[in-house]
Amino acid sequence: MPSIPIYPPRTGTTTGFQASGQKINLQTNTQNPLPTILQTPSGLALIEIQGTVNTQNLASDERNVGWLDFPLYDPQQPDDQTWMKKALLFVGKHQRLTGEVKKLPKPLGVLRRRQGEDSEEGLEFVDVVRYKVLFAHRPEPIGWKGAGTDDLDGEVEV
Amino acid sequence: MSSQGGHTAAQFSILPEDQHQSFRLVELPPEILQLLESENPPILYFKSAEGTLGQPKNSTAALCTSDKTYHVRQVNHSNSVFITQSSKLRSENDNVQSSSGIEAIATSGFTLELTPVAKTESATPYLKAMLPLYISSDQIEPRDPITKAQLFADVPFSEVECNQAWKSLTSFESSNPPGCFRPSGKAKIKAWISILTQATATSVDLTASVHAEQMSSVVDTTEDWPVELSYAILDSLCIDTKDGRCLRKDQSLRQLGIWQLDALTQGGRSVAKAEFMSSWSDCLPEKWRSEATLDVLQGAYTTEENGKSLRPVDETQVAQTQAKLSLGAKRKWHEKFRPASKKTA
Repeated sequence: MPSIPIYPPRTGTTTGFQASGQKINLQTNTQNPLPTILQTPSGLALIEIQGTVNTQNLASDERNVGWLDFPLYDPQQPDDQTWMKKALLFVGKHQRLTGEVKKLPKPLGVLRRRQGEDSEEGLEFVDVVRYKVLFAHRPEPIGWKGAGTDDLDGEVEV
Repeated sequence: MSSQGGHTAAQFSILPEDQHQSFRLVELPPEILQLLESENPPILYFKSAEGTLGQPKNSTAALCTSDKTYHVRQVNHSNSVFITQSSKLRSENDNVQSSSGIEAIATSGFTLELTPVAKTESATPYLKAMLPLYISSDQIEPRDPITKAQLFADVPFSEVECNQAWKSLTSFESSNPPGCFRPSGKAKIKAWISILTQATATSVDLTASVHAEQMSSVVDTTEDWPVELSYAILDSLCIDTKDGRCLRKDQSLRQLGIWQLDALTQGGRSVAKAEFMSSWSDCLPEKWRSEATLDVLQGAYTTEENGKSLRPVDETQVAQTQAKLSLGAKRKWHEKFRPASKKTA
């Protein structure tokens, strides 16, 4: 079997990803809503959940599952990292997961098949991710009737 | 939206699976991370062996930098791991400003773990298994000819490590006969003696530094073996000096001893010590003849008949026995759990 080249992350990622012919482009022009520490050049992040997230509405193009929140995060104090101890994920109308932001012991390279203007074969590192948002516990039941919850769809099954 | 969450709440959505992108997550050891973050990050390679040494194909997958090799192991995780990106939300209600959220665009069921290969592992056994043995141009192990590049592509080690192994086997690539070969001890000694004779005839002292042009004059192009073999011999015995190349003394003494022992014991027989010692010193430059003692060959031979005859040690066999021993130990480790599991049953 021939060896497969793995290309390094492209510099000036924005143009690199915009040029890809894939249906979904990695977008770097949208504002990243995550805390700065979780932001990567390509905008990729990792969220780990114990169990699986089931969504009901199969016809829908996009499944709004819920909200991700870092209640202790204060963008004015980027050096204070205590906020990393608490992350909340609201799933559907009735579940809440409590988790935290973890620094990965070894950063993860995100690999994908190489694509873009030149048709060189092989793989490429899209980005390097150093943190993940980990929800390691079972969901707690909540009664949540906030605004904009009508179209939420999802349930965590452990 | 912020009735529960604070100002940092982001809408979380998951794309349907058929729209998921395909990603693989690779754990990055510090050295690889450093490479990726350097100013000119190099291209890395996934390599795998073509089932050469009897292992199943995937057990030998490796990730290689230019000079280092890492074993690749797939570690499955039971949790759901989402790879997300920021997304612009579509808003049906124009009054609500569209804010950005995050969207899971892929899930990952496993991580690839990289572990550096052990120092004892090398590309040599792979090359040895894949390269046809060259005894003479009429006596070659019948194999389909392949180029050096094709050969290296199927060896799960980095370019530098492949080249080291290539050199350690004195391998050569030639056009006639076409392909890559590893010469037998006899072929190596024959080519070397021709070099030595030619050097003596043209009064070139190989034990001192020799200019590149002079060095090529010691290779007789009229011999009936490819010149590439002669150059491979010189490559494995010489080091570069300021103004040319010269034989590495210790290395050359040992190498020539091993080759000669190999040549004299072809077919698995042993050789009388006296016979070996005289043919060994015969193939050394005049200056070094007196230095051919068995101490130089330590570890490369075994004695038989009370030390009267010698036999070479097959290095790959040594490696294999070591591998078997360590496997045995692992199995015993497993045995420890057997009584325990019986109790619970």
